[in-house]
Amino acid sequence: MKRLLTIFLFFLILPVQADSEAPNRNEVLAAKATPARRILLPNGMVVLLKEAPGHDLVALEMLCQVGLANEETPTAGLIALWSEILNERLEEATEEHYRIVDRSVSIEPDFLRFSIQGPADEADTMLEALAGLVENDTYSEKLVNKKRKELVEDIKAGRAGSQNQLYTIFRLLFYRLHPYRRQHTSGEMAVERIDAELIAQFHKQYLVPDRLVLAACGRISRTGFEDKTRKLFSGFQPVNKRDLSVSWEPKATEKRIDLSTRNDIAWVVIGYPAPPAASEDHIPMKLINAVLSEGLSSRLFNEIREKKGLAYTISSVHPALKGPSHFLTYVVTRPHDAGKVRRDVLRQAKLLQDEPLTQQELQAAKQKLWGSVLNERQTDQGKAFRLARAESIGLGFTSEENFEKRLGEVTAEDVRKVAQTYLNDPTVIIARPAGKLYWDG
Amino acid sequence: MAKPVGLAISLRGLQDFTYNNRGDMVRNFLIVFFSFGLLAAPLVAQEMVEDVLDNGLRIVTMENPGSRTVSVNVFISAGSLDESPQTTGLAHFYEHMFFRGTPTLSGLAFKKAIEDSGGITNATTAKDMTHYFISLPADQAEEGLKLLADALIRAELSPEGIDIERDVVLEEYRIGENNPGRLAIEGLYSMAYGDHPYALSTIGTKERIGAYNRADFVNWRNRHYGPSRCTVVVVGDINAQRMAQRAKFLFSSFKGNPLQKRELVEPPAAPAEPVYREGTGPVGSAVVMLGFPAPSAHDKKDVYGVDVLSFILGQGRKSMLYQDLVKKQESADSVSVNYLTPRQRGLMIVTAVGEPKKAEEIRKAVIAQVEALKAGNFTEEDMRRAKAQLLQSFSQGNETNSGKADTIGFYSALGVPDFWRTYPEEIEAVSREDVLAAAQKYLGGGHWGYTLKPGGRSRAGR
Repeated sequence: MKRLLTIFLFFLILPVQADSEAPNRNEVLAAKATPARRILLPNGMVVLLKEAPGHDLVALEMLCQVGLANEETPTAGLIALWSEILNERLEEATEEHYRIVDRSVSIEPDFLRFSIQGPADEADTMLEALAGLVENDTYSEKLVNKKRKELVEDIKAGRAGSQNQLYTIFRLLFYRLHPYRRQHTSGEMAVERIDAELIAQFHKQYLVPDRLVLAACGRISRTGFEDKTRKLFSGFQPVNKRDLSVSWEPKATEKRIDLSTRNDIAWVVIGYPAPPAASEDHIPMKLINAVLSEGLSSRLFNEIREKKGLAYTISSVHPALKGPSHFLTYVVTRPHDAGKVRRDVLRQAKLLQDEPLTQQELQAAKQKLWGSVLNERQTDQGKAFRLARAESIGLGFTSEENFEKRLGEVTAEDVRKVAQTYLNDPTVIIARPAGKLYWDG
Repeated sequence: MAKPVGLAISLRGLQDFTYNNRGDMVRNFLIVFFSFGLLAAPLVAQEMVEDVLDNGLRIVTMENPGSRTVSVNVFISAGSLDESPQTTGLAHFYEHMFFRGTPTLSGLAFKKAIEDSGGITNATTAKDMTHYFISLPADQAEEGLKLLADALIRAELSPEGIDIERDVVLEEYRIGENNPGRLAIEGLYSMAYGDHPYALSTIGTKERIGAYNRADFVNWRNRHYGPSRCTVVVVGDINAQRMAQRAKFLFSSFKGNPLQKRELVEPPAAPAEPVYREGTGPVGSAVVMLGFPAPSAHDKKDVYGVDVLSFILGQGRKSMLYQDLVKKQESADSVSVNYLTPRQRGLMIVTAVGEPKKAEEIRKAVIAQVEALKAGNFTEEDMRRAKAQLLQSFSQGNETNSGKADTIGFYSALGVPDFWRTYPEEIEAVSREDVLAAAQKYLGGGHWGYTLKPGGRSRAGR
């Protein structure tokens, strides 16, 4: 069996500076236990700092609170095109700094997301790059044309996937006139109407400090980082423009569509309204997702795939949104089984309204949700993003610190009440190969 | 590329290698050590325990205090390299069957036990290995380990389970049929490897997936799932010593059948002249892929040289290819270079995307840059950039528990378990001469080119 051979200390050669800055084990644990700090700059910009000195990394997440609700219908896609240009600029701004290997600009329904991470000694460079993006509000027609061409290609490519197509259709049916009906890259015709002047105007109006939340996580010096942030961002002037809120009511809808695919499969897509992320119903709704459709042991997975063999894949979507959200399940099945799957999903949803979860089920759902949060928090980037997002969508950054406590307080009855409130008015889409007749029983 | 870092992930499922046939060279030992700078990223002291059992199974446990999570992994040195046209896709199909339960625990109960603990589980199959993993809260680590051990040793492989899972695998196959990246890379691999198993698609063929029965799976397990081809890696907020003891207890009963001696066939050499083919697929732009021969994991010195070379050539906006094709000539919209270290002769792949009418121009421009590199037309600054990017990617890839486990298990499954330990220093030590030597050795002969253009979903050119 085992033969104990050696006990030795093993040191890898590291740069002197990095080694001297390396914290010990206790310092790492202490920093992990220290809450994030929130700083409000006079111009309205929010800065969140969280120390995580275990690795020689710093991750910055800057969210600009501009989203689908800020786009006009004739130029829908403006934010998508703008983000492509900002992405190019962020890459250019950091291309000489080779160790910054991760940076991107992406779009979410409620915000524009700037992500960048690199070694701790490049934190200043990363901050300067972000500040540079805010400052530069001029756009050349040449760059806009180049990025427009690439975006149109992306739009065409994105349409190829059935799931993307169905999500677009679902949002149109579900949200009707609400801005969330749009996908950021839904129309090349609209994108063609966007020019450099329009983007510059949009920039001046929305990429402003009172819409910015910047979260930093990693090996940072709190005071040094704060000073640098103040120096770089305090000069930007706020605009103080409030967004209009759009009223919206859910309404049940059912649609059957033909798929132009030769694959002999069908999709059953069933969506329900879900609360905004800041609502106290949000966590119970996440537990409903965990119980009903998330993972390989959910009720739907068990019932539809394991017991009845009706489905190939089951997945769900429940985004954390500032406004009215949705809870959506996708099931891929055989065309002739689509009707059975539809009935089973609706039946399982009804069951959640009628019967509270057992304590065992509730505990398992909580553990599943908590596990996913811990996974997202494994990286500095994950931690920074969760902090910034919580602040941006109205939850407040402290929600991250007390998530475990809030999760622990949810009861089975809370879950049932939320099911009774939201699991009504389903939007149903059944998509099957064209040219055949189907008997749904 | 060394171990998968960010840029290479897209190719990971399609490229890889196989197994540890050096069991006789591996001593039984237990090493306890504290390291600073393990895996480059964490500068905190981390305890790590490494143990090779009498049955040949390797166990590695590593502490990451305060992470609150744990990553539990089993790596098997078997993948599509171990397949033939008659068994194509079997490694992947078996990976699905792994999760379908044992005589004492149903597949559903297995998944439920993990998810009810707050965990997620999944697996990947590649050319050289199959990797099973569970990520879960740290206090559930032993439960995760127990579940993986049970599935590894006692997977039931029931005919009913096979039929259910067959539909799932076929669905995965259908989804991949529409994936332009897969079509292009399969086209290139079939050219570069001919009759060698690396040419086989990991997912297999529709016909073979439809035909496999229980005997095929039992035979696969008996031939390839032996302890000497297995590495167990646990990284997280754990006690490394205790977890190693627990792993030893759980996996010591893993006997496996006596494995037949493995006879690997050498991949074909590069052609004297370039060979080009074209195919069509559901793409808007042309995907131009060029494959150059590259070292195996066992040619360590060459791996370091080609890693640096590939970054000089095609990583980031300052790379030779980006500067020429995208910035100067504006012939391509994007360009990248990928090289994953395989067990046998590898492939360094240049991928450029651009307008279909410019496909030929793009290919010529890529070759011109490769020639320029061979001629030494790169600067010391290019060297510094490539090394810095490589090391930072390596470091960031090891930020999480699963990232660390992946690094350790990946190299172990290739039969070079110590590769990662000195990787940063080895990359730092690569000289300009090393890069030039690697360029002459690997880019000096012929190569393969495959271009996917817009059209139907045909697989022309295979």
